[in-house]
Amino acid sequence: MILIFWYYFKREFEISISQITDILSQLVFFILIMMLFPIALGPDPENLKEFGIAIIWIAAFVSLTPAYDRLFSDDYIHGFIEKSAHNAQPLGCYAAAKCFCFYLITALPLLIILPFICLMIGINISFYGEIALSLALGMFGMTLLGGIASSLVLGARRAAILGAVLILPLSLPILIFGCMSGLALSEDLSMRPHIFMLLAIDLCLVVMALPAMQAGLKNAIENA
Amino acid sequence: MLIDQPIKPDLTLANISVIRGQKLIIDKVCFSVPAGGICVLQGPNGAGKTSLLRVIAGFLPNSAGVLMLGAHLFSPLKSTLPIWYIGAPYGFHPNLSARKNLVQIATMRGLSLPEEDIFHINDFTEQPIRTLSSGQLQRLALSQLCLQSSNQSPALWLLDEPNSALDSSHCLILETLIEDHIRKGGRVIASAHQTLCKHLSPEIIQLEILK
Repeated sequence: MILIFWYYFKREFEISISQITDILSQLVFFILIMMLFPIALGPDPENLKEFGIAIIWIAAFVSLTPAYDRLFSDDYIHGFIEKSAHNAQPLGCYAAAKCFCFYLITALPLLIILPFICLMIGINISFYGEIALSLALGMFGMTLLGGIASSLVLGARRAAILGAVLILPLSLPILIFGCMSGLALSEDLSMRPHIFMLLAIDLCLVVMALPAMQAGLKNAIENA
Repeated sequence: MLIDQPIKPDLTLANISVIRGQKLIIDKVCFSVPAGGICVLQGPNGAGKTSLLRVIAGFLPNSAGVLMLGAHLFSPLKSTLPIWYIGAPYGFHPNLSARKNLVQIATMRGLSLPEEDIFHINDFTEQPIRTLSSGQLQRLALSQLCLQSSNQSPALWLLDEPNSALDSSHCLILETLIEDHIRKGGRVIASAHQTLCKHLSPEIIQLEILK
C-alpha cells in the first residue's frame, strides 16, 4: 500500500514538474490578491498591520480554491482514474497521493514568498515562523476539503465554481482558528490553543477525506 | 497432476440490462466466456458495445442481471482476476513521454516491461503522448497487454475497438497476440466493426439499437 502511494506520488510529481507554469501562475495570483488589499484599504500602515494576517489567510484561500479543480479533472478526462480502479488498490490511496503532492507543490510554495508579503503589509518579520506554521496547517486541511469537493463535482458542468461553492463554507472553521492564531500573536498571547485546534481539524479531515474521495471518484467513474 | 490445474471457471453474463439517462441501451444480454475463449461484440454505433464492456470492467453499474465467475458473483473491481480494459481514453497523461506512462502503469500493477517490442513503440517512446497519432496511441495502449507478470493468472482482456486505428500489419500482430493469450487460458471480450480474429471463430454477440 505504501509502495503504491509512492508510485502515485512519483507520477504526480513528474506531471507537476512538466506543468511548472501552473505553479508559478498560482504564486503570481496570490501576490496579486495581496496587492489588492493595500490599494483598497489605503496605504495606512496601522490599518494594514491590524488586518494583515486575516488578509494573508483570505488571499491564500482564494488563490488556492480555483486550483482544486485541477486536482482530479485531468486524470478523469484522460481515463487514468478508471485505470487506477483496476490496480487492486483502493482509489483512496491514489487520492491521498494526489492531495499530498498538491499540498507540497502548489500550497507550500506560498510560504516561500510569505516573508516578502509580510514586509509588504508591515507585519513584523519575526512572526514569520508562527504565521507559516498556522498557514501550513490550515492549507493542509483546505487541500483535503478541496480533494473531497473536487472528487464530488467531477464531470459536472462548471465544476470549478461548484467546487468553490462547496469548499468555502466548509473551510470556515479553518479560517476562524487560523485568523485567531494571528490575532493572538499581535496581542502577545499564546497561539498554542489555536494551533492545536487547527491540528485537530486536520486530523479529523484526514480520517474523513479518504473514504469520501474514494466514494466521489467511484461515483465519477460510473457516470462517465 | 490434477491438483496443479488452476480452476478455470466461465465468466458468465446473465440477463445484463443497462439503463442510462432513462433509456434502455442494453436489454437482457446473456453469454459466457470460458477460460481460453473469445467473444466479439458487434453492432451499429450506439448499440451499447462500449457500455457493455464498461459494465464488465466494473466502471458502469448494470441495472439488472448478474455477472458470474464460475459459481460466484463477479465484482470486477474487487476480483483477483486481473482485468485489462483497453479503450479510449487510454489513461495516459499527455505531458509525459510514452515510456514514462507505460513504466508507471507497469510498476503500479507489479509488472515488468517486455523485452520484445511487439507493437513497434520504440520509434516514439520518448515523445510526449500529446504528439502521438491515434494509431501510435492505440499501439501504445495495446502494448500494455504485453506487460509481463511472473505469477498472475491469465487476465481478462476487454478491448474496445482495438484495431480501429491500426494499419494492416499491426492488426495481424494484434490477432497473433490475442491467439497467444487464448492459448494460455486467458479470456478476451472485444468489440469491433471490422472483422477480428476470424480464424479463431469467436462467439459473435450481435447488439442492436433499442427503439
